[in-house]
Amino acid sequence: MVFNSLQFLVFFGIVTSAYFLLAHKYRWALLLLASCYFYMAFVPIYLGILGLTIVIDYFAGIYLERFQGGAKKIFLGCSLLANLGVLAIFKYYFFFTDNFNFLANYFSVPVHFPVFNFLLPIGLSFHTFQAMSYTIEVYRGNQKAERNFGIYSLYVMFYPQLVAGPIERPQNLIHQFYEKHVWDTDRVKSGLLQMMQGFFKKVVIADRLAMVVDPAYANLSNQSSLNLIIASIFYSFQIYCDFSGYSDIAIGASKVMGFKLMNNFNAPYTAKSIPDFWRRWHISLSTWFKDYVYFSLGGNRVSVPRWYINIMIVFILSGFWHGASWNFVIWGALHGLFQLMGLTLNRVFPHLAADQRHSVAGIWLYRLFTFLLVTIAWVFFRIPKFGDIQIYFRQITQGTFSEPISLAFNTHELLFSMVLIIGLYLFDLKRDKIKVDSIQLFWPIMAVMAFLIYFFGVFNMKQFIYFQF
Amino acid sequence: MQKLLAFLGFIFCVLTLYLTSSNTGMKWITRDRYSRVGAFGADKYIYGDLYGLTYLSQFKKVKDTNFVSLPAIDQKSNSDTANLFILGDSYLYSFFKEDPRYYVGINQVQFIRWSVANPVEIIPSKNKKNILLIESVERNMSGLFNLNSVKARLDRAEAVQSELNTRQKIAHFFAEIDEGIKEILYHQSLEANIEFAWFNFGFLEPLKELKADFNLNFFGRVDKEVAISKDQNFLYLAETLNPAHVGSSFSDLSEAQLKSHVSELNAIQEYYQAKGFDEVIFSIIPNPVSVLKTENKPDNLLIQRIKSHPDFKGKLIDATEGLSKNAASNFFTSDSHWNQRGAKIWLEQLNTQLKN
Repeated sequence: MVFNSLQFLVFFGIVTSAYFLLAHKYRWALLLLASCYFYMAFVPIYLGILGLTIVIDYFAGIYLERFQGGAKKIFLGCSLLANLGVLAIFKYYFFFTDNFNFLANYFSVPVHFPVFNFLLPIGLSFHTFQAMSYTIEVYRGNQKAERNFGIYSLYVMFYPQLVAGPIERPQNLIHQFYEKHVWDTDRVKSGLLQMMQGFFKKVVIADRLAMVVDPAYANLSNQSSLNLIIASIFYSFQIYCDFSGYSDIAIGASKVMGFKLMNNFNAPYTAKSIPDFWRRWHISLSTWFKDYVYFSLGGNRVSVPRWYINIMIVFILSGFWHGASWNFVIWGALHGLFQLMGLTLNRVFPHLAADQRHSVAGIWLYRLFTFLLVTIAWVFFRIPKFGDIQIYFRQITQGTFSEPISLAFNTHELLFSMVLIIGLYLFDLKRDKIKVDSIQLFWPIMAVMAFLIYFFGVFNMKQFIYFQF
Repeated sequence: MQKLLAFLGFIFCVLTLYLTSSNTGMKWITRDRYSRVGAFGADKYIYGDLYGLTYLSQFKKVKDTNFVSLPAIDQKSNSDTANLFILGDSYLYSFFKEDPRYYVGINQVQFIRWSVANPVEIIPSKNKKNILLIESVERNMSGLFNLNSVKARLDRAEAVQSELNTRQKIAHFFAEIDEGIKEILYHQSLEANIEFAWFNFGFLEPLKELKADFNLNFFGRVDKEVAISKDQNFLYLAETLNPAHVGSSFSDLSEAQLKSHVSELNAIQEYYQAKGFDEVIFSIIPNPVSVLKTENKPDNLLIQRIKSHPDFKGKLIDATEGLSKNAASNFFTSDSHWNQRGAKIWLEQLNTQLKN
């Protein structure tokens, strides 16, 4: 079930109202049932796979708490193996066998693995990482093993963040299922407003920009340099609005019921450097990698070369997390390289960097440069085939800037899209300084937002980009 | 107060889900909505199905369905009767349904729609002549006019795929479970049904038109499923104009593709004649754009090329020529279908065929 559908509105209405009508002790069961229903709207049978890993992790958690030493490590290993095994089969099997067979063929090795291309369970990487987070935290002693199987299942399956995050930590979420959330009008209004903001980002901005981006990327060889530049910038904002729109709806829907999910975005395109970008973009994933991979590798408390290697490992893994395809690996590696370049420059020219950050022009220069690097990296994220990536760079460097823009929009809609992007950027930039009592103005704001979403929305029920991960 | 609010919200949403998930519920809503006039009633189809997709105010014209009545055949001439089985679409069903009075020499009609959920076994009578008419509009023809597709609608036993390997059988098994669960939990048309229940009201039409007119006049675009003709007089389904779409009148049609179509038609004919049908007649209804010629582009002449193909062994009703005379008067301006006059032209050709 996609958030940008009427089915979801009905579902949300039923679940939320029933949540407040039910006695506290039954609420977790309601949410669990609702989450199963929500998930089964995609591929029902994959609920079985999710159920299998839930059972394994549930018992692993209990045994992790009960045992110490080597046995504890074995249980952690079993849990991670189960989770990573499911990922390996459904997400990476095709990639590995395909690449292995290619190499075997190239070197004339008479080995051939059978190639299966499974239909990827929706949101697999998200709920797998959330489940792994649980067993790792229990292993580290930061989280008590959950004894209530239903509550543990709900932790993995909580519908608002089940298929595209935020990837929660057990310390933040599990205890909330035990807390009694009473109706708080201000909180409900705040949650609904955040949902509205998410819908606006998705159907007014992201799906509108997709109308330019999709045909341009589908037909790269016929695009002028200018077309591709516009499409690339639009894609940067499309993916931002698409994903952060989803997060807003998820966080808002949870907030209405009294749950507080972690923030996933914080005005990422106002970042002044690549590390700053990653503190603002998909925060729940970047902190996951930081906590469980980067720190485990030693973080920055190692020699400089090793530190750089750690950074590269984390970013390449992050790319690989997104998809079993070389373009995602390159995307991750590029971000890693940008980080290393930044670190090296800061070490070589420390004064220059500090001066630039203190002047307004310097700050904007850094913002612009960071956005440029991120946008270049998105090209690899967006285009899966190497041949097409080559075409993209060939077309964009051929210097056809004087040709008239031939995108799917007319001039009015192009300008309107730019106004939306600038408006969003300014909103992100000044969000903390905007002093509007949105709770007091709840009804007028909701009415205006609803009208704007209807009037300027593009209603094609386009799936969220991050659902594929 | 909050509890009451939550209760009312719960009842409203549950009722919506219940009614929009059941065919009975939707029939009730539809009947109720169509029986009303004004703010709380609505019938977008009286203005045409393409108006219902676009809501462009310039195309909000009530379809004139009364300007020509379809001829009913004198029943006395139907004494020497035959059974007519039709596998077809809304081009025929909307006008003729299962009424034998329209057809020469026919006393019983069984109509099976392409959209039928489960195959309907048609059994030719042993005492009477049996005619099978297979009809589709041009834009859907290539996906429908093949033996497997026809069998999937008309042969209960044959519809089950028999030549699957083990891997495919396992996949098929799980897919069936998946489909079964989905069928129980989520109505196939749930999204459209909710949209109908919540938003198909007369009082919302001005707002819809405002948005549609704004998008057209300011952004220069209409609903992606629809296109406006060059002369601004007709709405078309966009796919029929898009050369990249196989059902478009302007898509490339190679000799090999043509030959493939012809061999599929021949296979269908042979198969059903072997099953006891005396005659198999095909009919491809031209896309309105193929007839109206508003786009000043050469079309692929799919129907004519099939009909004149040397390998084609069947009978094909081609109404293109008849429809092309005074073409604009044979189609609705804001609907994907022909009008009464267009339907009548086709019917006359079919009846000529039946007389022979």
